[in-house]
Amino acid sequence: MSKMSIAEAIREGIREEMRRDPLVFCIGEDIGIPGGFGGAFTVTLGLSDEFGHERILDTPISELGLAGVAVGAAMAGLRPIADVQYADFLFLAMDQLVNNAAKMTYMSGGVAKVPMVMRAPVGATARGSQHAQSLEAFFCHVPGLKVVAPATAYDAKGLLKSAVRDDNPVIMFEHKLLYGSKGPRTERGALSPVGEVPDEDYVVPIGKGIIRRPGKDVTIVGKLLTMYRALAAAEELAKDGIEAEVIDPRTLVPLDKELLLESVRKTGRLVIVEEDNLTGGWAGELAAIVAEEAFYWLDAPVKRVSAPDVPPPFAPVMEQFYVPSAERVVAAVKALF
Amino acid sequence: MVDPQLQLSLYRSMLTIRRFEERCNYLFMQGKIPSTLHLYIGQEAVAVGVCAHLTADDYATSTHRPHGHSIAKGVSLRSIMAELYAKRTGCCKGKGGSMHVGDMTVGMIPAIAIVGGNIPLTTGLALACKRLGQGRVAVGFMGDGATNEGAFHEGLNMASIWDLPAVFVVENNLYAASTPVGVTFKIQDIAQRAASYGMASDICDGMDVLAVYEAAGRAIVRARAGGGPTLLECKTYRHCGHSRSDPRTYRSKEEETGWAARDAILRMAAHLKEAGLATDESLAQIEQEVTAAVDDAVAFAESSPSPAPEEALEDVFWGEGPVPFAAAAPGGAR
Amino acid sequence: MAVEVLVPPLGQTVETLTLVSWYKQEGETVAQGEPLFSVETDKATLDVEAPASGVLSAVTAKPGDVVKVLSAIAVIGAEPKERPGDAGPHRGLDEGRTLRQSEGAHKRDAGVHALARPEPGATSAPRRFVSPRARRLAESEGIDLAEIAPTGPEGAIIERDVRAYVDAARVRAEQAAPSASISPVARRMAEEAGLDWQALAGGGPRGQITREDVEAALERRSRGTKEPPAPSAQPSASDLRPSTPAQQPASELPFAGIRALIAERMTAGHSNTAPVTLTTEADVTALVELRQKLDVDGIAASYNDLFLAILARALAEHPRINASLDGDSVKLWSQIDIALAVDTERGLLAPVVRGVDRKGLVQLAVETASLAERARNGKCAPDELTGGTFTLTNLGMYGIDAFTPIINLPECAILGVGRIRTQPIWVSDHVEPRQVVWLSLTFDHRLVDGGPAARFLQRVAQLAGKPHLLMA
Repeated sequence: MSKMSIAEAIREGIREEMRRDPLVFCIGEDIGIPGGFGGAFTVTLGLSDEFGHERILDTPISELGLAGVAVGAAMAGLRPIADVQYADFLFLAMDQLVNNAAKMTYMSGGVAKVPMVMRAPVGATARGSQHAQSLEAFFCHVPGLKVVAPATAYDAKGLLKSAVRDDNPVIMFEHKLLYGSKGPRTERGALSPVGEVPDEDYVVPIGKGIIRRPGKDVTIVGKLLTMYRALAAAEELAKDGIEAEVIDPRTLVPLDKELLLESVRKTGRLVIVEEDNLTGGWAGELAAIVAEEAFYWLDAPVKRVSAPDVPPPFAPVMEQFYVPSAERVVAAVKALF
Repeated sequence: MVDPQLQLSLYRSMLTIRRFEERCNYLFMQGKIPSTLHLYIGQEAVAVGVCAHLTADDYATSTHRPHGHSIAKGVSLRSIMAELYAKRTGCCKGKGGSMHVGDMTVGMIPAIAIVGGNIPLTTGLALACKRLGQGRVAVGFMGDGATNEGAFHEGLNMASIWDLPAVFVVENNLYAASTPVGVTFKIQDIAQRAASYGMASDICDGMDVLAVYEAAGRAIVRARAGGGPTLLECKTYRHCGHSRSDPRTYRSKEEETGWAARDAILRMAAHLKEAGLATDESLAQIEQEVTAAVDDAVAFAESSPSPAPEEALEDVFWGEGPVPFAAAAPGGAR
Repeated sequence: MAVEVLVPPLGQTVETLTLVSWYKQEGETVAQGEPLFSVETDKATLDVEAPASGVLSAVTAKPGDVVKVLSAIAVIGAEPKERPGDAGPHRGLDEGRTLRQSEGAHKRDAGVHALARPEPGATSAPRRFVSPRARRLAESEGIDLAEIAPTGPEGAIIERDVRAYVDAARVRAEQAAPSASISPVARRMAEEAGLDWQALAGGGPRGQITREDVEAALERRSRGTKEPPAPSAQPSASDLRPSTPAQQPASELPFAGIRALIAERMTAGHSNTAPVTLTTEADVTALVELRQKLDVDGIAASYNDLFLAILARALAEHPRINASLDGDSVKLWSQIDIALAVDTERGLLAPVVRGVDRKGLVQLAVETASLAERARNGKCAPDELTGGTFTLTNLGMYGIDAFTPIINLPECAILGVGRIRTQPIWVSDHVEPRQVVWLSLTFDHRLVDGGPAARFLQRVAQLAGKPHLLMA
């Protein structure tokens, strides 16, 4: 067992997978440059020392290109771990991810496979609208892509390994404020959860969520940063005798639906909290699932606590208003009783 | 001098593509083929001349106009025709259609219908080829229009900086759908762009299969030897419209007739006879055999079963079962 | 949040007033301060304003009534939310249900201020908002939602309100429950005979214990202590009739619900078919090894999962077994949906795994585990428990070998799997320990003959013995 931050855990996961399988390699910008950052948030720091620059492959600023290269390399038998420095840049690569990676297996009648991973950091961090989005929902909507969002060090390493070993394209979203990156890449306001991570090989299966805190009065679902908001809200609610059950889905697609439905059948109330704009967000999908499959167990309407329908603002006070806080979650829960 | 047997096989290959495409056109008009088609008629020399250097271990990627490349790369006529007929025996089990035909077992990546989308893919395939070190190459076919996509710039640049075993074959048929190259290029030859990537380039007459064969050969040998990628521009022309619903009113009759006179197949037939490698009889024999092969493909397609509707739920994820979906669950009572 | 509408103390010495008229009808929205009703004092007729905003309900005085000062004659409740499509039919459903329940002999506590029940055809009844969870609970407890006071947000009745009502009603029932009633004659008889009459069920009016009931009880008691008949006595016809044991049951379980359903289905499966059971012993040493190998590679498949895969193949090859008799035709099904018998606390359930032939072992393992778990917790949806084309039942874990499973109509056959045990078996010229299992196939001879059924079972045994053939 070792205690490590999420950035370290992902790094360890990558390292172990690259040692285990020579076909695994990383491709991205600034990931292996000697004296460089090790990627935007230090995740790949030091890996090029061990694996060289062919397996920690630095690219020009070409997100569309590197995504396409990852798809092609994966189809020819390699197992790429690609990354973009900010998830917002994924939009440059949408054609390769959505039209190619996600659809190759299907369009070929199940013959071709694209075993690639694309890692991307999300979350607002006072950098302005174009470096701040939580845009998982765009990718949850694409058949053929798997989407994971680990919020702890244990899950980050375990899901990274599962993603590498999966024969399908997996997008792994990480939160900038949860990395725990040190040195010049420390983020102001970071949560930096440090967790116990086993030294031996283990995976966290894709498609399995987890109950972070059991409860009987209301189910709160949060992902990445908002999972911690949900936990903080649950602590607060407990003082008023409301026992909240907090679920961390860990995988967004395929969703652990049964975990969610079982919880809602038990508690009768559901609040979903996400750092993403309200309209068309991931919370709406969960609400629809519950409305269809657990309607008769509901004791109150399903509530979404999301960011308002605005681009993420820069000023810290506005950003704090934008990102759902524990207080907003508490208020939303209390209104259901 | 190119090996005589090879020359005959080049001819046969071009003729096969031509007759296959003509038949597709006919069947489409008869309503047998559900989707639209982008026919390769007129450009056969490029696909054949390039793919003659490739084995099943090499990769080729293509575009929305993939039949010619696929046939030249070794995808069976039967599986392509069955795919066009939307049958389960199609190369994509009816899931792809005309614009996505391919066959991984012969190195033909299912075609990419987004213009330019296959270029970075080609770079990635070449990256794997280099990494796996077996002398394999990746060839990316594209039209002139694709070279204006950002994907072209990014894909070629990366292939160049990493010295990848790739050949980017630009079939400059002078039109991107209906837009002529004069409107979209300031330069005369697309091959000029290779210089900006520090990449080797070449230009050849796309209506002369031996010229294509020779130029492609140089590029592919360079790639296999670790000499890096090449941008190979083939000057060619498509006799038919962009797709089946194209009346070609953006081209003049004179232009079309002019190019038709330079038809690669007629030219090769004339060359073979002149070089004593074929006679009218032997060419007629080849014609017969090619027709028979196309007939066979059609018969196969027509007699093949259609996929069950619920098969739509399969093959989303490699190695996993069908996607759950409410309409498919039969419910209690039968 | 309901506010009572009181008769105001107008006039110095007045104890009662006469209600003249209402300006608002029950169900209408009123605004605080607007004139609500008028009353007549000894001197004049005066308007009274509404004390709050909301919806008028529980009106208990009509024009002309004499009302006591400071008595409540109505209630103003929370404003109902604006909801589009608030049309008649939905409300009518509420009314209908409420009316049916109110027609029963429903005792109401005098002290409870209930919301007024809507009259049939009334269009101004206030809409009651009930959470789905509360509505479910109310339906299952047989409670009229009109009886329940809402405490949820936006004036809705939520689960805790129904629970509170149920708990209160139970307390009232226990307090009000009369002791068992017995006629005086019966009581004297019972006491003289030393019989505890409290435990008897009464056959008389309103459950009263009558003389006949006591006599019957005394007879039963005396039969229990009767001497056994002399050995030489011939049994009479009446002695041979089946009779219930002469004793009081230790406990009684209702023969209803799942139990009754199972009884019905088993009777049908047994007597409406021509059942024949074939048995064979299969050498499954290779299957046991296969399962161990799968486990090493992280695939936790049970024997049921493996047998599902085997059955899927065998059924695909023997389509006449994957069939049902429907009236005058035998329907051969294209999809292979196998029901898996699961022992649960409530009884035998058989959730169905659909399309077994199209699923890999890993998926089957996940699905069977999930189905079995949900079946045991009573969480299976109704359509997960029906519509199979074949059934698999496994009693191996209880040490059973061969048995005669009953066909799960309308299926054609059912396979029973016994325990896997090690036996000394002749292999060519020597004996070696092998893992064997009994397979019992009950099939419906109306649809299928012995030969084809035997061939099917033979194939199942073959695949179980040589699972590598599944790859062929």
